[in-house]
Amino acid sequence: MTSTNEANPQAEKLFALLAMLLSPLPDAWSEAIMRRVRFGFTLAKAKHQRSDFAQAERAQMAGGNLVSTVLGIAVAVIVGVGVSIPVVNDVLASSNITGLTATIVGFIPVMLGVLIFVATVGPIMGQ
Amino acid sequence: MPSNNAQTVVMLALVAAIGVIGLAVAAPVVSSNTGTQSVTNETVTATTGEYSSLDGFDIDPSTTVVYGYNDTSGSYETTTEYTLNEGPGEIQFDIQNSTLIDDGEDVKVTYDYQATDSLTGLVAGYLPLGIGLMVLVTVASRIEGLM
Repeated sequence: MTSTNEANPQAEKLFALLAMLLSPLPDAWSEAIMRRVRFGFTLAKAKHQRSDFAQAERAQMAGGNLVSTVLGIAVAVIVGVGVSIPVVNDVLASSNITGLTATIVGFIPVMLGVLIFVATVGPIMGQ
Repeated sequence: MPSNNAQTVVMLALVAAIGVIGLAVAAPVVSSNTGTQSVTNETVTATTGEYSSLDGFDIDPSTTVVYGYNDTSGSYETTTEYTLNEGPGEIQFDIQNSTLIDDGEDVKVTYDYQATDSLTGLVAGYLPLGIGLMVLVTVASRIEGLM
């Protein structure tokens, strides 16, 4: 990453070309225009560097999020399949529900399983 | 300060390690909580006139074996003097007519139960695969980004 104070050879060539084009103008005008152009270039360069920093920070945050996601999904599978689904099944078996209600409520453990599966597959789809 | 690539490599190593550890824990949890599960010698205290709750539910009556303690021989022997409520997983012992089971005595019960129906078992069975794929694809795509 280059600092704002370092000279950019390509930019310097363009400045020289612009100065040559402005040479027919009075010196005061030419110098004022060149100062404005150089100032604009410096501002743009600084903004670009800030953007690089922000990108690096975002990348670091994304890495942290990735670890959290993997950890979170592993915990979700363990708690979901080890606790939630057995508890729901036990409650449904003990509640003596019959008919259409039993059919609909019986899909709750399936939906829990699908929910956790979608959570595991979600990050893959986001790649 | 380490370079971005070094940070990414360390992060990917961490993701892979956490993913594999999570998978190692999640896979046995899934296999031991789905489909048909067997319970061997679950200890239940017999109480006159009351149902005792078993750990399992949706119990298969054909697989249920109850062992009462024979005070004379000093060992557990099978008995059929019980009533099983399969759905909620409850069992009541016929203590008055039983020669093996006394009130307040420990009884051992062996049985199979349906932890989940087949559809839930099918979906849950794919969860370890999902975790493995997630870790693999995530790490692979980040490595591709480094190349």
